[in-house]
Amino acid sequence: MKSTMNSRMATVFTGICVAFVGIIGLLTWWQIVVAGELRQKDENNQTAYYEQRVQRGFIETRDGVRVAGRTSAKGANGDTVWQRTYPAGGLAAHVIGYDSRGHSRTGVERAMNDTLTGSTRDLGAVVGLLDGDEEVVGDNVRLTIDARGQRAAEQALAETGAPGGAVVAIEPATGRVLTMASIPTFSPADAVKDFKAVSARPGSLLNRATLAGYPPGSTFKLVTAAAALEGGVSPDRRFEGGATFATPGPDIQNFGGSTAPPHDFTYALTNSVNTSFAELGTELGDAKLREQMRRFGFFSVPPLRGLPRNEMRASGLTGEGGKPLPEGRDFDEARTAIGQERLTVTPLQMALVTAGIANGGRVLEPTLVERITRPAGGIVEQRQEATWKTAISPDTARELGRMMESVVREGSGTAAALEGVSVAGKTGTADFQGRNLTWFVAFAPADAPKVAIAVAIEGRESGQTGGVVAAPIARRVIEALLGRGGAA
Amino acid sequence: MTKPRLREAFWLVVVGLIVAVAYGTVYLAQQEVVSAEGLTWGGTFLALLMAAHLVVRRALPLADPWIMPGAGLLTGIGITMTYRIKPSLAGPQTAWFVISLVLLAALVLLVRDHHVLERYKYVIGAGSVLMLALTISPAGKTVNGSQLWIDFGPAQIQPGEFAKLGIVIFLAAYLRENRELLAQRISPKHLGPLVLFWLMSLGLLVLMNDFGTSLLFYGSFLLLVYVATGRAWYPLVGGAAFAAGAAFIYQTSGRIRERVNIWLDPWADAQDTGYQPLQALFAIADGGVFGRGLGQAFVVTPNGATLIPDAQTDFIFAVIADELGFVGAVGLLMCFVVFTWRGFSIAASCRDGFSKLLAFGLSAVLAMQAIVIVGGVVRLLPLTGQTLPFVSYGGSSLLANWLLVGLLLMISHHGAVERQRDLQGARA
Repeated sequence: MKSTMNSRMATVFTGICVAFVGIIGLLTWWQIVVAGELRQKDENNQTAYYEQRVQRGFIETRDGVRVAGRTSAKGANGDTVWQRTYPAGGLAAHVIGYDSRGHSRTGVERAMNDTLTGSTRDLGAVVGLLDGDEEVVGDNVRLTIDARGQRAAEQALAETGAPGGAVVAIEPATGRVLTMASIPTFSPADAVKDFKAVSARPGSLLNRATLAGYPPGSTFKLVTAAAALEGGVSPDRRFEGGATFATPGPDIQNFGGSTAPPHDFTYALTNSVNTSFAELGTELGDAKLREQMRRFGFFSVPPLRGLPRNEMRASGLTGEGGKPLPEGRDFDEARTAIGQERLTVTPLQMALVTAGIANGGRVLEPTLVERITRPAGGIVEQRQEATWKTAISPDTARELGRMMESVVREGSGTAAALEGVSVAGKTGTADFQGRNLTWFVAFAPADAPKVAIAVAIEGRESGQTGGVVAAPIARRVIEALLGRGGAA
Repeated sequence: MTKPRLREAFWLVVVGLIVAVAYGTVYLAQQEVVSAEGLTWGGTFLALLMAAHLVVRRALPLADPWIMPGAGLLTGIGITMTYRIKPSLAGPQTAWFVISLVLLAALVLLVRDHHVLERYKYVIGAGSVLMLALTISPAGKTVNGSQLWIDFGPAQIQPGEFAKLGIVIFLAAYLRENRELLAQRISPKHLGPLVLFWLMSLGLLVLMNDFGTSLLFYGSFLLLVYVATGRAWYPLVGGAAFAAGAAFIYQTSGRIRERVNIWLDPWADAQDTGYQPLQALFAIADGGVFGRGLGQAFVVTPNGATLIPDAQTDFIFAVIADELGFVGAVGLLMCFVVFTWRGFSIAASCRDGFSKLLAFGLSAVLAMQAIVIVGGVVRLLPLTGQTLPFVSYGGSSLLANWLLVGLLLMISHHGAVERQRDLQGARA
């Protein structure tokens, strides 16, 4: 009997070993396999603590204005903990985002978090940390944002009193984002202190510049015109004019029901003649329109360096329920051509379109990051230029540019005219949530473009147009960015 | 000196050095001053172990040499981690260690032969039940919803820890007497007192709201009966009865329901009931492969509280995993496996049924306790509020487990003596 007692004990021992193996298996799971995920969880106070010990890198504008700084405080047990400060108040709030424990982070604070917390250091520095080296100082991020333009944009937006709106300004030759503003806005300092109050204000945390889905209105005529010119339509093309354009659906009318005389292509764009563009759109067909949109970067999320991908969206055609219209589905080319049908675009995308036209047809990869530097100096990363899309030929770009100059000189965009600087632009007005949405896109100086800008303002009473509301804002920002008539 | 004792002395020195270095590291991290105090404590610890060693050398020269170093290492790591988590608790825990060793010496020198316990099995069994009953009497204290404690003036003890030993002793003795009968036939006459006894203790535990200890009692009962009688019927039916009972308890006890729900999804109530197990998981994840280093992890918040509530008791394993990493945590688990293995080896090499069953039961209950609490921390099982033997902060637990060590050493020694006698007898 005794020997079988021993064998039974052996069985139990095996069972115990199996249990320990199971425990070690789960331990491996938590400690190695999903450890990274666990560290990212918002409830994780460990991560929060280590992050508090880190001296977060500064975020500064291109012209040296510090928008996110840091200050030290004493933890109760003598540890030094660091907190974010915002020396420039809410300047570029949506760009820098907030860094709040328990509510995670957004904007540059999120996209560049590894850089700002010094986690991208090489192995030597990491080993130094293991040795108990207490000081972890993150790298500093210099943005492409120009503080003068940013201030001008934010002020101008605030003065409209509009329920929503955005401004995006890009340097066409390099892809630098010089200005990105959105209202309603928030204060990052408040977001850290009292997140509930901030998030209670509807829409203030939303970056409309990159996430709003606005109908483009007549600014989309630039895309139609580009498609037409690329497709062989002559810049001297004549249109008959008239008051309506017949479509399978309701007739398309010109703005205010006006009747246009016979005119040329430039006149059509200058005065935003709906019937002529509807005609162009029908001629081109949906395939060509889609193709031109793709070439301008529609249907993809812009590869903007410096913002998290989930804070951006692609622009394009929408179907049921606001979802993207599937390939091959028919859409009304006439209405799309004038920017009225099923189109949702972001201000960033329209700025990219304008930048592409300004830059001889090449759309560069947009970026918010100018350079990354070590705390002690020394450059970690310098902005690189890259072409994102080749939208149109240089000839087409030149033609379009000329037409856009005409818009500002004598068309609907005269409010954007600047003394001593030639501005090329396009106005737009669309229906959005029962009210008007007004647009103005432009680049300046027209002969050697340094700024491409898109302005969108929500919620105007109907009757107010892009030319009246949005164009002056664009002018102010361009002025600021160009240093008042001089070169930037 | 006998060979086992030589081995033991050697390994005790090694353990002492390891613990001294560990303690010194934590001391450095806490005080940031190189001082002799870290070494002093380590020296004291080693001296205590050697004193116990001398007693064992005198009284039980043939005992297994790895039991005491194993228990010593676990205890040393435990006191070190307690010091790291709440330095004020290291003193009391060391004091309890001294008391444990004194009582170990008393047990070994006064009782001498564990077979004595066989004669008093009913007394021991009844005494255990009585101890448990005391906690639900006016003398008892409720802590965290469980009535686990009795106040003895300056100290509080957890009778559950000692009752655990008592029940195993009783079961081993009773089963040795009746196992042939039980193996052949399920007879109410013989099964009766057994089940009655067991029901009483279980009932008390349920009344005390201590389901962790109930689990251990029940588990050791099933395992001992299985090993003693060889009838798989017992554990199978017992397991089914447990499942039924567990389902019933789940329906009726809100507390158990809460525990199970937190086990399945701690994220559902992350700030309140799920907070403790989640913070433990985060600590484990923070450790990575090699750990943050002793004294380096974020364990204590700036206002003095621990990040994981009860870090020094139920969740001490999480802190060890955080600071010593996967390597350290697995090492600790290996200590328990080796300890259990030695206990089972002692049981296997014994000739008489009582020694065998007793050694087996004691080792099994210790292993089960470790599995239950570490399993709860890594979410293999729901949390049950057990202590990690030798490691967790807690005087009663430490004392009971060192008495367990004493019993194992006695069994080991007498088993070896018997074998020697047989060998000599065969030669003669």
